[in-house]
Amino acid sequence: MLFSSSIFLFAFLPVVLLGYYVVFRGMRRAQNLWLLAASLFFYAWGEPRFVLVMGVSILANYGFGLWIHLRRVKGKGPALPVTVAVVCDLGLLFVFKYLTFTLENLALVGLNVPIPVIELPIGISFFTFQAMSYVFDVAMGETEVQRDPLWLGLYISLFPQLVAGPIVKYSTVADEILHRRENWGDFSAGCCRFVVGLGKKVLLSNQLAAVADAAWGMAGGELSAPMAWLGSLCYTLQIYYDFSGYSDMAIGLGRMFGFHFLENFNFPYISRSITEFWRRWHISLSTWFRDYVYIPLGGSRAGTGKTVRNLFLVWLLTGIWHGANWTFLCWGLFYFVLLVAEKFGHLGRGWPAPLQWAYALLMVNFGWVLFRSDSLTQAGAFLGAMFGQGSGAPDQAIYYLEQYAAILVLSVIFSFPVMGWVTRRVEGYLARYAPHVFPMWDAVYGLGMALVLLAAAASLVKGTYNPFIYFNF
Amino acid sequence: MSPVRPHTNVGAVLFLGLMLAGALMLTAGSVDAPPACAGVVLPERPASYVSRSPLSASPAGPGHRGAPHQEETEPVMEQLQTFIDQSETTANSALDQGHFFIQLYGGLQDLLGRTYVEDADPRYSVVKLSDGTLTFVNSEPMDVTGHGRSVARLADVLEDRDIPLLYVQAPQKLQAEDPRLPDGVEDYGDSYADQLLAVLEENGVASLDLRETFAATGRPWSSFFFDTDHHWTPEAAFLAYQAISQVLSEDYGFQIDPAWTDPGSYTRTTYSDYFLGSQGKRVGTLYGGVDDIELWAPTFKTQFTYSIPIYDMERTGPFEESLLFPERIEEVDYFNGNPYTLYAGGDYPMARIYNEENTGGKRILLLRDSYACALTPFLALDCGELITIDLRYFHDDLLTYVDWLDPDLVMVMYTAGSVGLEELFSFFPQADLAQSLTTAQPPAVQKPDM
Repeated sequence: MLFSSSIFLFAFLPVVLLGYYVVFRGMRRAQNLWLLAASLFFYAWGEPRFVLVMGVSILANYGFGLWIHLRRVKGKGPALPVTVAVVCDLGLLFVFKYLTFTLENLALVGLNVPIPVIELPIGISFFTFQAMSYVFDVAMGETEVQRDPLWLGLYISLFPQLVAGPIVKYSTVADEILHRRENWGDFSAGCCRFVVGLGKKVLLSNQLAAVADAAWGMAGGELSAPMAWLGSLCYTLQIYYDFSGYSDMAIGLGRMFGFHFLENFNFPYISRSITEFWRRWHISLSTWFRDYVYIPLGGSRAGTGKTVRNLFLVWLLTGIWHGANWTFLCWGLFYFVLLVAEKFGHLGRGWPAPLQWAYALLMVNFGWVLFRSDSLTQAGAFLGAMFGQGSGAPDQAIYYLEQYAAILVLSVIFSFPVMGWVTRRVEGYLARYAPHVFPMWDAVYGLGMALVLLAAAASLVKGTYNPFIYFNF
Repeated sequence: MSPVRPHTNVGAVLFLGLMLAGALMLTAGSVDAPPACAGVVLPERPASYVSRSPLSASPAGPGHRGAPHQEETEPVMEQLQTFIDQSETTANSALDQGHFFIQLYGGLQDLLGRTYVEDADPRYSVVKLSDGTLTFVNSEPMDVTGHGRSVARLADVLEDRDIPLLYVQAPQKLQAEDPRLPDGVEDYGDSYADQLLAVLEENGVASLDLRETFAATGRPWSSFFFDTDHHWTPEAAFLAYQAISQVLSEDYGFQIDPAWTDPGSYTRTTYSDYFLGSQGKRVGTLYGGVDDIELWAPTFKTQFTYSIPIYDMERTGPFEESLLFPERIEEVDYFNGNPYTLYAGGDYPMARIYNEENTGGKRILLLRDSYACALTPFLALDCGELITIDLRYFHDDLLTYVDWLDPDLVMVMYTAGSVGLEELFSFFPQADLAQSLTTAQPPAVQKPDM
């Protein structure tokens, strides 16, 4: 089920909220069971048979956690169960996500093995990494083992973050599974956060997608340079509003039920270096790799050679995590090269701020071209078109600029922290000089949210383009 | 300094309120599902094309052939998946019973300055022209010469039966390289018509190109069409009727009373802001406004029987009571009503019109698309009997009907955009078609219903 769907907005969510806050009010276990049942239903709505895959993952990792705990009680280390857990979790991910790709590439080098058709369970990368996070946190002693498989199931399958993140570390919400405290402040902030995310996704990302798809849909030779640049810019904005919009909705929904997920985006396109960009983009994934791969390997404290090796491994894995395609792998390694150049070659250091910003954005934009392309050949052709190698008419872009001018302008504006700045200024002013006007500001903000919700609902009901990019990862 | 208070109270309350309202609308809409075929009001009885059983199975048909359709039961998991797959569309349909969301969506697109509004089905994306009128576009170039060969072959087959064929090319809302289109938007409908007419000329098939008739008037092209719909207005259909009548009289020996083709012989009543056309329904009135519609009623004496055998429907009376459907304009209903069907009632697989005032008149079999709706009542004046067949919904053997009905003339009239629709050129049974693939091979193309 999609958050940005009428079924979710007007059927699923009202029923879940009603059950949670009215029927099971004050009954924590019943509320949790209700959320678990709702989450499984949410997942099954899209892929009924893949609930079993997730169920197996939950039960297996529950077992690994207990195994670690039992060994610890006996004074033994967690290495064996952690190894088995990693092999099993990554094995599951490999079979569903990478097996076909591997066999296809083996066939290219002459090893002809029958290639099965395997459908990718939605969000498998997210729930697998969450499950591994639980095992790692228990192994590292950051949290207690979860003795009730239902509550571990709730953590892994909780519908707000189930299919597209953020990747919530178990230690972040372990306590909240049984001891969270819902309140109106959190609930109301969660509602507004959800609406902001819905607006980003439906009103901006879905519109930008039409331009990006058109650009990538043009055969390499037919793409003009202006259209290629416009398409890449639109995709750069689309993927941000798509993914950050989903994260906003997830964080907002979590708050409605008393869970506090960590932020996943922090205006990444204002970054002035690639290092800064990755501190602001998909923070939960970067944190996961940092905490469970980079630091355990020694991080940057084991000398230059090992630091480069660790960075290489992390960015190789980051690329692979995003998908079974050479484009993702190269995309990850592209960032490895840039980060090494920044860390050891001081790339961009000392440059004027606007130049640093332009450099970072340009590199990110090139990265997204690689990311969005179906093959390295297509990526090469697209990048070539950006630099005048295409033969399309220069006026290709005019139609899209005319049709999407307002959306583009709004998308660029909102990719900077404008709204937060305005809100802080207004509220700071009101708090100091006119506290009695605050209810009016509340009403104005609320009406703005209502308009965004209505506009998004209208777009959904009209049934426009609605893909979630990050479902595939 | 006072502490900063949360600013999300009203937003949350409105969110919950709107979500609840949506849930109620969804529930109410699910209970009261919309009619499946809004705009074309059909009788309760299922149409033949629903079950795909041939019309010949009906008592009004020439014979009883074809096996009844067998329904197959899907496995439970597939049924569940089908239900899930269709749920969003069903929910959206239930939610928008009042069409509030479509209106809001259209208003938003207008605010954003969009002149091309994408639809979930790209064939139904709406384009706003520079004069503010709306249209669909035939955005893909297409080789439709095969359709021309199909018409030529039909003409040959009819010639063997001593029945002449006249192909009438109705215009479409967009002209070739229409300057009113937004930058970067192309329409190829007119080129379909050009290709088809070229093939007919090569094969010596009689044709009448109404695009030339309309252009010769010197009037703005948009004046022939509704603003929010792709169809021509009744006035434009009457202009077409005048041109067709002249050909029928000069080339086919029809006796036509000058009063019938004189616009002065009709009273014209305008129903203002009454009609939201096919494009308008997809984007709402805020985006493209609404249309007026005119009711043309003859001042001379008329008497018709209009029969639609498959629906057991028969209307008898003067022109304005039998061939016109005044019940379609009894009230303004932009989204559920279709005042264009004031004329001839809509698209029926087959209909027969008997002109009781011209019983000795000739019999025309008209193969038609929806442009014929506005023309049919006028054209019926020239005939003793006018039979209309819409091949999109008619699944019997056409030639069996031709032999049974024995018309004096077979007329084929399609609008330019419809020339890309394969089903409109499926004149012969599939087996027969396969046999003659070397001479007639229409390309497999799909276009929007016109």
